[in-house]
Amino acid sequence: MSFAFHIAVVGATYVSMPFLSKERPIDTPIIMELVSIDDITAAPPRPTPPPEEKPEPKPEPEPVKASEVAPPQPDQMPPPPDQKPLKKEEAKVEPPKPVPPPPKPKPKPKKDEWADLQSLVKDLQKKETKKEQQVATAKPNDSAKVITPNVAEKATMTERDAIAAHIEACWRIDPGTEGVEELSADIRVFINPDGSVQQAQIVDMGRYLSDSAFRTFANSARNAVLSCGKLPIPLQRYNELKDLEFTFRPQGRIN
Amino acid sequence: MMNRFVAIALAVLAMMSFSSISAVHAQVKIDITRGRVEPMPIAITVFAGSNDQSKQVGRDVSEVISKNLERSGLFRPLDPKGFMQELTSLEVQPRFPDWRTLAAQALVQGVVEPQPSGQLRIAFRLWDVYGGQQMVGQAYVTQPENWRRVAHIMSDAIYTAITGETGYFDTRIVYIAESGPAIKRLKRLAIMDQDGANHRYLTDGANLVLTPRFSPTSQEITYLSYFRNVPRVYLFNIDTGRQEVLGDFPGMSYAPRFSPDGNKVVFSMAQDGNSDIYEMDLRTRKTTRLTDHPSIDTSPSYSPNRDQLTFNSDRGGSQQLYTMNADGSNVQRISFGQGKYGTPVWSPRGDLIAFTRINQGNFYIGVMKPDGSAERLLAEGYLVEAPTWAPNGRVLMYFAQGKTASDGSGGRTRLFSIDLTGYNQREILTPQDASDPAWSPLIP
Repeated sequence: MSFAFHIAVVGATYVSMPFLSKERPIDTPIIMELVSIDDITAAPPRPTPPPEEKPEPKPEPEPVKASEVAPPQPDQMPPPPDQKPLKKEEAKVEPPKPVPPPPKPKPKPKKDEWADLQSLVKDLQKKETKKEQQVATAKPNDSAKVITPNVAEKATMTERDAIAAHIEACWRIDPGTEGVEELSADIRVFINPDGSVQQAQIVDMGRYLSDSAFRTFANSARNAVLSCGKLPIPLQRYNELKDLEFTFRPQGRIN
Repeated sequence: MMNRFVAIALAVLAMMSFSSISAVHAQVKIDITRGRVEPMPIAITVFAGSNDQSKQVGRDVSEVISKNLERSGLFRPLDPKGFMQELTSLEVQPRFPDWRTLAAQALVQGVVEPQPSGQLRIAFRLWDVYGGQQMVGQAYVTQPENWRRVAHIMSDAIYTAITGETGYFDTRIVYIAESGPAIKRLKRLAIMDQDGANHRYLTDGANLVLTPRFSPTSQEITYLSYFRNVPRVYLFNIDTGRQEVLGDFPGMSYAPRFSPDGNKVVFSMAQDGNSDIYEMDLRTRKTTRLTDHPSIDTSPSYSPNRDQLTFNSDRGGSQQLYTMNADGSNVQRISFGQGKYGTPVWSPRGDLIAFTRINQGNFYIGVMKPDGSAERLLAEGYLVEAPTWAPNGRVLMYFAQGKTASDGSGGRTRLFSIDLTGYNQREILTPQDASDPAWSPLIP
């Protein structure tokens, strides 16, 4: 009875507070092609050469001069050609269908509100204790793949291992990058029924546009997904595994 | 009443977190923690030209870019024979699916256009093949004989756009060119581009020269020369050819090195059988003594922020590495391994100190953090010595000498580069034997 009431309260809260469910599952995919990397990384479009920069040719002294040619002057670079073909590609991409909201629980008869709230808090505390026990007993170094408890029912360890191994074989990483051990990037990936990648989005686009080290790292992660061919996802498991989020973090584990 | 309110608030909070957890159920999250250390496949097309001269320059520029990137160890230029699209103009949009078929992750296209003035306009675009976007585009107008410099500048732009770090291709190396028999060795200062091109001698060999070091901010070097058999530290401007003695000191001065801002030179000076470290302000010519210890303190090198110096000293009984504050205070020993340590050089990015280590008859080039932790040996040999950093702190150059055979053959000294991963060791070809390399900053 108490359980049913809790479900009812949770459901009512969920439905009456739309901001709780509004953002994460139905995120509008960020369209990669609309981001102009050029604006961030390219040299200024009109690098006007400094007027007096050309050094005067100097009389050659006894010891040999290392350079006698005037340095090259930067010139105006036109913007990249029209990228309409990209937009066509973009049009092909079908964003994932929004996840339907959970079914509304049936209304339950009213009971003593205070007693129910106390029992609810107790139940939640029990759940938390159980979770902590599970975390404490788990061996963190058993596998590189972290099991997220709330998705355990969606993907088995074997499936996650197979997908991770597939992507890891395609991920090129530069271990000489300063601070590479601390970098991590999330890539959200939508899969076609045949296992090919429909779309790969860098999740943190704000950091992508402002942090060059992260941009390099995130590009390598995205390219790993896009260059790796079809993921090992059986057709019968497509519905559960069509929406993935990879977290790329080397943590010193570089083959 | 208060308890009741707190309990309700807690319950609501718990429910909120529960429902937000349920909201992310849509995704399966997978950690990717292992990568492969492999160079990135990159397609570099031959730069298009409109006449014989510009076509030849186009071929040369793309070849130099290709070799620069390949030598860095981070890129694998693809064989142009496999390219399915000819990019004859910068206005031609690459067919990205075709380039993806070749597994190219980046694409370079370029053109060389003759100008009415007789100069050449050389331009390129770098494309992110999987993102379908231009990453960088640049154009330069220059004299035709300067095409190689443009190729190095473009290589740096490509390297920076892809790796996020400053390039090091538009740089030069000063080193000691050696020739002649061991008893009458001719040693001359020589300079070349970082890839070995444009080689020239700067001195004629009349006086012995040693330990050239580049200024981090200008095309100026400091070195030790035995002019009239008196060892002194000299300054030499390689653009003007002007040379001057650093100072007329009572003792022998050696092992000079510039401060990161180029305004000071730190060096060793031996007086009455004791070597200590001194610093000279090049603007005021004022000399300051930094160490005062009855041991041999030498090979000083500044940290990039000028707060500290590293040097080697035998004050602990054997030659080891130390750090100290820029005013000479707070001396700390940082090396504790077996054998001897010497020639410490602080990385331009500040995170590492490169050194030479001698242990059980073998020489090593290694790096460690400034606190002495995380020591890694990158290269080993019969004699490897004198590491110098590329300006981006990613690559080291050093010299290696082979064993001399009983008949006097062998024993060549050669230059090598190696990156921080230790995976990518390359020889830098020189016309004669070579030692004591010094890497320049990016050419302004």
